[in-house]
Amino acid sequence: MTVSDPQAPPGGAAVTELPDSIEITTEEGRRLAERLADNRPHARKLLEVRNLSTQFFTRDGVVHAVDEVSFDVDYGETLGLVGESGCGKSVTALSLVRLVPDPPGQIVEGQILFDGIDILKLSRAEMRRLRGRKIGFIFQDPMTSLNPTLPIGFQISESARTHLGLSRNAAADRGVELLSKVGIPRARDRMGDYPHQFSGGMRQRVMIAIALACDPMLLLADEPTTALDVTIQAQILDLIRSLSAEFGTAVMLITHDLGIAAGMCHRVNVMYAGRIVETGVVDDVFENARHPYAWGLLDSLPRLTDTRAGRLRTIEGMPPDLIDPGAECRFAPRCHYAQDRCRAEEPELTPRDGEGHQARCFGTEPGGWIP
Amino acid sequence: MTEQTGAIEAGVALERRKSTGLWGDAFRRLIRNRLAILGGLFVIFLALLASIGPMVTPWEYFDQHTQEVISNNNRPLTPMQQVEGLDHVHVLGTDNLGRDMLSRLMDGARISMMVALVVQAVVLFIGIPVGAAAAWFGGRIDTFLMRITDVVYAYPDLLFIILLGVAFRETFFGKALDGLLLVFVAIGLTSWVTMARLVRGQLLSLKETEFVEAAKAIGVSDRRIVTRHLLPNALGPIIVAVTLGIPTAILAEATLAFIGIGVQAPRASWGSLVADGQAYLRSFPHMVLFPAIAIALALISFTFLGDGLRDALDPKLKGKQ
Amino acid sequence: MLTYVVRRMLWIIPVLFFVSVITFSLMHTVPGGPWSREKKLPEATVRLLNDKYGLDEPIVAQYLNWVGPLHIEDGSVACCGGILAGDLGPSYKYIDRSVNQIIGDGILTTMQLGLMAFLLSVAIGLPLGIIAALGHNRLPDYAATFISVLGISTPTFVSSMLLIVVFGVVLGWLPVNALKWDTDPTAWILPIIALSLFPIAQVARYTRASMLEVTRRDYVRTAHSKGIGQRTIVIVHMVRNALIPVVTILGPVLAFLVTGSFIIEYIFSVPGIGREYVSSITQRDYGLIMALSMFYAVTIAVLNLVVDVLYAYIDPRIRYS
Repeated sequence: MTVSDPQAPPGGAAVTELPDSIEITTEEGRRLAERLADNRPHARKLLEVRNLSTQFFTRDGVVHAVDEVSFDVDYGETLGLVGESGCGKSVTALSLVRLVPDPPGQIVEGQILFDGIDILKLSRAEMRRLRGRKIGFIFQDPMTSLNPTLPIGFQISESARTHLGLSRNAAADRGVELLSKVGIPRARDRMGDYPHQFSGGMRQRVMIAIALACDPMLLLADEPTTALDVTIQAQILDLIRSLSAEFGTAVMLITHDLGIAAGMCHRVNVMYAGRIVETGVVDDVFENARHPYAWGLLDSLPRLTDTRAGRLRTIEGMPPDLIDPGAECRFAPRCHYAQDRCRAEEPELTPRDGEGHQARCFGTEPGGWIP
Repeated sequence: MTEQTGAIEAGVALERRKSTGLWGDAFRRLIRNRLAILGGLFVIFLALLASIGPMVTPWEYFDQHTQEVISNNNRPLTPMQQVEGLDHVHVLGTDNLGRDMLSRLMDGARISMMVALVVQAVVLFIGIPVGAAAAWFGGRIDTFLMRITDVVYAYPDLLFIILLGVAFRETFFGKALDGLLLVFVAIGLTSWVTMARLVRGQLLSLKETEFVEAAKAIGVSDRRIVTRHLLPNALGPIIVAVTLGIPTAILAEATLAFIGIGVQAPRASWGSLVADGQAYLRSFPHMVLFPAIAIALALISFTFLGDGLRDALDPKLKGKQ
Repeated sequence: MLTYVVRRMLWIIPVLFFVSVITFSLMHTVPGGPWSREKKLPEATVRLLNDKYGLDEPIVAQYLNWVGPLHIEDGSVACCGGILAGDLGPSYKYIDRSVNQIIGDGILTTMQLGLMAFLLSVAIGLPLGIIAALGHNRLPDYAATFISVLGISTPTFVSSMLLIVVFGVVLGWLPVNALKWDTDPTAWILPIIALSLFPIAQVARYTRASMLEVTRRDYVRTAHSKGIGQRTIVIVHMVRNALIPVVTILGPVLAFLVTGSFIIEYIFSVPGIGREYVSSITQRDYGLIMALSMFYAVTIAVLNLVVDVLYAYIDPRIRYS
């Protein structure tokens, strides 16, 4: 008996099918089979975003929060989305699951293909079936992201009951299983506890359990550790990394912290003012960055060799107003290397050294004026 | 910081665009709120009516046109009723004693506006110092003051006001200003508590901020910090509380007048007008209808204005634009 | 949670002490005493009355006699009397009825009135608020908000009279005097509606505000991200959280129902203790005024206690702490 996955493309390698003689009888087995089906090598990527633009229509103007952003996420890979507050990274993630608050926000153009499915063309009901089931979301603040009046056991098993049709008991069992997987001791006892009875780090673990409850193919993690203590941060990141490896879940990790991106991601996108300004494999971006903003970010990290007497290095100036941005390079006002061309037209993403390494800068293009 | 992420993008962009300051932004938001503008306009109208009105009408509120009533078969005149041999008309009719309703309504407006202003003045005068002291000094003083407010708060307002009214209505104090002084004091004494709690809450959260630490470090005196730094920041919610407290005060005064406590005859508080007209409800409803509408409009407009101010001064509370 | 409840219960004692002192003092500052009428009574009579009613004792003794449970007379202490012993004292106007009897006669009626108005307020107010919030800035919101503002801005005595005029006189559908509750149930309709208008508006406004707050919360976004359906989100996640703060307003609502009941009873002639209270005010029956005021204050204090405990129970953050 083969496990059929309605979302698998026709054809494709049969290497990861289960042999006919195996009967799927357990929940565990069913999930395993599904995952195998999901992670078949495909010609396409898990997530293909093309020219995504999301805007906010306010009384004072139209804010171009996400401006023609394109990127891919491959099955099972971890992609980092790095940038400062207000650069559009969170809005990008929300756009992927169509959770941008509307009004005032709207996805105005672009195409989002998730496992071959055109997200922007789905009906609301179909979109709802994807959320939680195929795409999980971890939010930044575990304190406010959990419902304070519902036991966490209920909140974890909610999506399992909704999407997988599990009975209350089966869903509760799965909840206990998930809780222990994310490292909460005495999981069964704690199913009836309320969020305020957990510490910040444990609450985030619960959030992770919720996000992974239905074994999604993609996990969107929006600054999952920003609200936590540094010591807890490492634990949470380790947890995400190990779980995603174990279940083959792709992760899009949004963060402003370069260190986190460097430690967790296969590839990185650097965002600035609603645009991707550099993208590539993590080693390339960190060791061979080719955009002045990326240099500024890397440079501003305090180093062990810094002396106390020296000043912290910052990028001068402020990010631009996203209402009706002009036709110039958005980083030009703050860029040491900017020249007239930068203020007249906006560069495109062009290739650099390294696989898939691109940057949006006239100066660092081959033949450009920045060495 | 995480509530409504998209708002961060929008907000950050907007912040860089305009920096007209807290009051400029709030004012612009307020202007857009049509209900608040309506309310505000009516409040201004009431204020004008209260201050200038009695000078404009041809009669006083206590003038009894007894002859006209008698000639009308001992019945009050209805609005715009023509009486033979007279060259004037009472636009809103008269009451059973021949007093012009319009003039009496204006006196009522005067009373209501006075209640609004004086009571809130009392509230601010007691509430702000108590709240500020409790927040600033903290510790024992805070506990002590808060216990007092808790106990005062536990006493049902209307009961206390009634008891005060009953106790003092025969005294000099009770008869001062046609009984209004008693009303002001009584209502004020029950209303200051919410203001004190509000001020205390605001100051407590502001006290821990860094600019207060900075001010202390420079050596600014305590009193200065409170008056120059803390209170102005708490000003927004204070203004809202004052505006929203006015309807309660006006309502309390009207209810008291209706029962017969507070304003003495022949003054025409809207509440006493309703009480006067009660007996004539079926035959001459205009005696009750006009003061009733006046009360309702006054309350509604202050409520709309107060709501508008609250939405304008705290943008987080305003939902989708 | 247990410590919270116990502490809350103990707090009632100082509150009631304060209330009793204030009530007692106020009634004893009235000039002229309880026997002053238009004709002055002969001195001897006054002295006899004072002795009979214990009014010649020193003031502290009078207070202690009133509160009980011990009884002080001419220097000797005996048991038992006063409020703590269950005796609310005499009426100074009704010679043959004590306050206990008066309360006994009317309490059931008043409680029925209050209870039904309460149920109506919640049954209409909550859904109204929820609908308004869900249809934010669209027709349901405007309609519900309009009704609420109207409800808040119309004083109870005004809306009662309007109801009487419209439904009792003009349309003649409903009786306007609730004389015999047991025999004519339709007599209850108008008083109950009139009493609940204000609370309905309050509850609706508060529920709406609370629901709107909740809509903005992060956990609602989390629920959406799990792919839960809108209806489930509203019922399971939003309403649950929105209703908790609404419980806090039940306290003031109950207090309003208690104090508002006497206005309603007065206007509609409902045979409850409220009507007695209003007439005691006009007739200057100070014994009755004191006792009933105390009775009302105690009732409200107890109701507030119940509401606070209920709130602590409903909010898991307090219950499990």
